[in-house]
Amino acid sequence: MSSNYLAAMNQIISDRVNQMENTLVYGENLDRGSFISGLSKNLVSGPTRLLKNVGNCEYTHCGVGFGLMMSGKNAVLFVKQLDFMMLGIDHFVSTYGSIRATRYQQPLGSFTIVTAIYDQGFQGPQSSFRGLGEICSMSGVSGFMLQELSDAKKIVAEEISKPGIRFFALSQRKANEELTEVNIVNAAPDNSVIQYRHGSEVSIVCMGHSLAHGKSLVYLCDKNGVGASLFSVNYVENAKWEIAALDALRTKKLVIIDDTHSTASLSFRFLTDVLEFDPEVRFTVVRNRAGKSTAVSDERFEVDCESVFAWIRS
Amino acid sequence: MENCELIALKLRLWQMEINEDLKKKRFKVPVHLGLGTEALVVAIASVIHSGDSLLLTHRNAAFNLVLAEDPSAVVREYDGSDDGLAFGQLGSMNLVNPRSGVVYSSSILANNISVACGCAFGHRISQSQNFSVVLTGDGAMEEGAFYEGLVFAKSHQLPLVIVVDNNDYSMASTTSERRCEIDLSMFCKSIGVNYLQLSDNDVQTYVTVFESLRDAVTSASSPAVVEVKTTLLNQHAGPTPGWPSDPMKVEISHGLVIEETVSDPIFVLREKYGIKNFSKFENELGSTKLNRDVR
Repeated sequence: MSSNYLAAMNQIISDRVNQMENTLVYGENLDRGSFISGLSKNLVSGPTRLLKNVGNCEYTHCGVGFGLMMSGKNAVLFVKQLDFMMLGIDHFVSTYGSIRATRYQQPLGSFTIVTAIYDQGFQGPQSSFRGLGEICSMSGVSGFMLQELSDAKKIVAEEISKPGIRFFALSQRKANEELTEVNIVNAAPDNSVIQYRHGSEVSIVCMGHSLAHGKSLVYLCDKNGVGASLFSVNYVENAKWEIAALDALRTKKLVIIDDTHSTASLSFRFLTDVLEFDPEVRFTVVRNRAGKSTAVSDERFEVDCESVFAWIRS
Repeated sequence: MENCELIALKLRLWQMEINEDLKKKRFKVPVHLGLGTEALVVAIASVIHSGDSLLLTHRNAAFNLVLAEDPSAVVREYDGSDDGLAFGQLGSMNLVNPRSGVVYSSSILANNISVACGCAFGHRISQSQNFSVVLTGDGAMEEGAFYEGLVFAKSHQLPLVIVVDNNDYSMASTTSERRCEIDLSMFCKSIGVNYLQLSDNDVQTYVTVFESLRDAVTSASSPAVVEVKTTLLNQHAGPTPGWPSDPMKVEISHGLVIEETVSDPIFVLREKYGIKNFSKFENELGSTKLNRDVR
């Protein structure tokens, strides 16, 4: 297994997709050029697995996936960047809503959208949408962040063939980073929460693609003898995220790290759930307070781990 | 009278019965009848076989009435009853009945074309002889999704029939009041999609055309567009008299013909069989009325 983030994610995803039957695998430049920045390499067709290079009509791509799903077939759509999926919001909200209200005679097929979140601003303001959670919130579609080898293997294996729709979101900023294997110690049954560490003094909960910052904070905690639990949260409707919430209620100290620009973030829902049970839990939310830049910029989300650690110790 | 023609008469009766309920404001959900579309509806329903996919718009009442095993279940659905056609979950505008092939209905104009492309791709993956039919209209032709959908269907040679129900109206605006003319035949030609137009409202002719289309689309695995000129004989959503300046008064007691022109497919039937024979057929329909008891 390659340790390069993008290559590793491609291998995990393509290995699974290549086992799927009754499936349409499609995307713009799916099988040529850069293979959608490497996302769609190594895919192979089969007797009931069609690979299609498709035109530039993202709204239609989304509708096609739902049509296949309601026909009991599977769809895997590769999309270069999450911003393009804004064009499919009508389908995510209206079409998916209708499908969920309908009782079909046969099981629904699966519809998986594999895309990258351009979590930097160098492509310009129209190419830096990070709010997958907002699309998920308005539609009820699940959104999973693929961050480390362990979570990506688990999520892709368990979710890609499930009836219904979900996003698998990669981080563009991490594309060429080296990956290390981080063990999973626990996970929610719906994969809404993945737990990587168990500690006694503070609960660190990461939203979006902020797990790397959470790991840095855990490293600092370890160095100073502070036991920290570490979680990553995905968007799943009616999430079964008790393992993270109960951990926060136990440690009574909660750090939420959120790399999105969203002001309607999943962070606040999680925090509300925790505080509803115990308003005495101390918390801090580290988020991108600068807001979304309207100009080309680095848009790097930085976490001052020393300051956050000082808060933990206080 | 041919069976398809009898079904058209029944459909007219059922829609007029529901129209009586609309006059009394029985339903909380907005019901979009298709009085005047019976020839088209019956023809499409006649070519939907097991495994085919039919994708409709919010104006799906007539299709669901014709295709349901129990058409009274449509009325129960509008009432929100759990023994309605969709268990009281979908109401009117999104009403589907997968058991009969109606897999999707949407009120978002042109939204259903891309979904139909997905269903048609499903037929391709199954390597079946099934096809998909999607209903759309002259209003949806203005949407970008309409263009995208046709190009996608042609690009991937999908077994799909796109039916444009052209009644000239988008709610209260006629085509000329809201946009320039679109020559659909030229557009289809430009992307290599077969196009044909229907307008004479003869049920049997329409059935024959759609049977041929089904064969052509499934054997060639290539989409086709049918533009059907219709006149909607009821309001956009609600009981007659119609809109926006339509003086028609639709009453069951006046008989099944609403408009004495070829715009009304039931008038076309009456002309074909003569008033005397037609009255006999009308009288025989009594036993096929919907059960519209309010429970």
